[in-house]
Amino acid sequence: MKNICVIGDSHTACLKNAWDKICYKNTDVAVTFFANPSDGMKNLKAKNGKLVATTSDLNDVLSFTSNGALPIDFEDYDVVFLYGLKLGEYIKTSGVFSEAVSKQAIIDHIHQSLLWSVLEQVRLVTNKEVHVGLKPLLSSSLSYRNVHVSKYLRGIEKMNDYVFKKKNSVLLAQPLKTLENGIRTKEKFAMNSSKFISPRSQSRSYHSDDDPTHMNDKFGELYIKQMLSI
Amino acid sequence: MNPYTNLPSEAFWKTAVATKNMFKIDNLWNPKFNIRPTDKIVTYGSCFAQHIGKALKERGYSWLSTELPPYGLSALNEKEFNYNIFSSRTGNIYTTSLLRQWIDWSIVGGNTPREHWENGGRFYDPFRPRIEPNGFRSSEELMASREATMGAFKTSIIDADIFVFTLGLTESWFNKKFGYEYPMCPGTAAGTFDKDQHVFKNQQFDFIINNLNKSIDTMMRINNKLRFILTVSPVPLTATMSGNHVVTATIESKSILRAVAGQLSANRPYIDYFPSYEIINSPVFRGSFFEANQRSVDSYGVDFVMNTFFNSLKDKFHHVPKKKDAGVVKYDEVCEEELLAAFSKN
Repeated sequence: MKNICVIGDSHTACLKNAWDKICYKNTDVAVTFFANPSDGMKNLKAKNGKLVATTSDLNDVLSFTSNGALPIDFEDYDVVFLYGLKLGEYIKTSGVFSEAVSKQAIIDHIHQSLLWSVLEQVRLVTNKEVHVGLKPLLSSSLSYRNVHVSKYLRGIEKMNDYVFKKKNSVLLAQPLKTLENGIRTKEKFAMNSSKFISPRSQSRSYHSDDDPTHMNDKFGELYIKQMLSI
Repeated sequence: MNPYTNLPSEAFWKTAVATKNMFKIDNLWNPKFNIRPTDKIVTYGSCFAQHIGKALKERGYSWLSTELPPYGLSALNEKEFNYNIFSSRTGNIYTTSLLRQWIDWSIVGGNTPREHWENGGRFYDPFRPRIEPNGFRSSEELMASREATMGAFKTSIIDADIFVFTLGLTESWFNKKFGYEYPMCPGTAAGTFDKDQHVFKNQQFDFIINNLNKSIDTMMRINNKLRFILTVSPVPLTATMSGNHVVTATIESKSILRAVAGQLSANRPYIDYFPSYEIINSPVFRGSFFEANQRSVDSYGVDFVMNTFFNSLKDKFHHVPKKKDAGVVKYDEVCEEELLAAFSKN
């Protein structure tokens, strides 16, 4: 049995929904989701070799999403995946910049994110390789000039070279099938995206169709399949 | 009746100073013209000018920066790489001749020197020796960066409504053969000193005022709505090559710079002088705004200077912009001249 641990924010909802649909086809895999919307994961801290929720709110939500699998003991998992957590793609600003400041800007972009804070907590308790996924590229119905996807992939490569490799982690690109114009997520993946289900709501609701940030179960399915191949 | 009878109280030492608590001394500045919160203000000059730009931002004024950092760079690294210190990444402009040099390169279009300094495989700009903490990757990268700054400098002058310049030094270093000026003596911040190539000049009144006049004239040609505020840095010299005691050299330098600023302000209606130098250095304040080294201006002094600036505008023109959150980053000014202290024998 391969055990996968996913730690993320509201973007994790589409992964969870997709997994619920396809898990019966992957009976040799178990995926445990620890998810909390917004920046609640800032309260996930290392303690006694595990990650614990240091607030009751976070504890309630993570217990709910993981079916009671707290605290997070990485000895129980084969694959660790951090998803979203306020880290998006690096947006290259126009202008003349030295190589040194360009590199520092990418490093700072990552270091200032919630994902980095969580990764540092993970590293306090385990040296297992960690896989990382950015929050999805925005979707848009507007047409943009074509940017070759290699530019997006070069950005991923730089983030790995400058930062993630040094922490025994690897940043994955979102599935290339989901990209449009090399810089956006196809609009069809943003339609009917589910909201994060919390212990309090427990019923499914949806983001409005003009929310370009959250993706739907079809996106989640493609992402999960990519994750399963790790 | 005589002309003194109707003068305001601040014209008399007794009422303006002698009978007052020193921290209640006010009306130090009567602004010549209004600075509206929407006026685009650019700041350049010596180290002290950095406080003005920072205070303008914090107080809700429109401080203009035409050379922005790349996306994602943290506030601390913005300072390390000298973004948003001055309105473009010129580094400190200590003298009026340096200001004219930047203007000649950026606006008039003179040839810029190809000189660069190399150390440990990294390349340093002689005209902005500490603009990148570890230099540039190549001379090509260095030149591209300098060209970008020249463009941004020109843009800042074209777009500005107010140009604030803090005069810092009279002591300067030039290239003997080509005549261009370095902001720092070669061999201090970077580079190698060569007595056959590098010459010291302690600038005198006429030289300084001519360069400032020409600089202002050129700026007015590309932006005739510009108004100017001149200040003199209140910070004493870190070191002097004059052969005099550093105290004597400091007073001489600052006196000359103060006279230059005063004369220009008196002669042109669109140039004003703001007395930051007097606020910090006048005996009436008893040196209370200096740190223990009697050179660095403490934060209370900076606040007192800037409060005087903004309160003077408010009192005369009756507007109060909304104060913006200054954020949590507190930092010291970026000052290459301070580096000279490292070369003292003690």
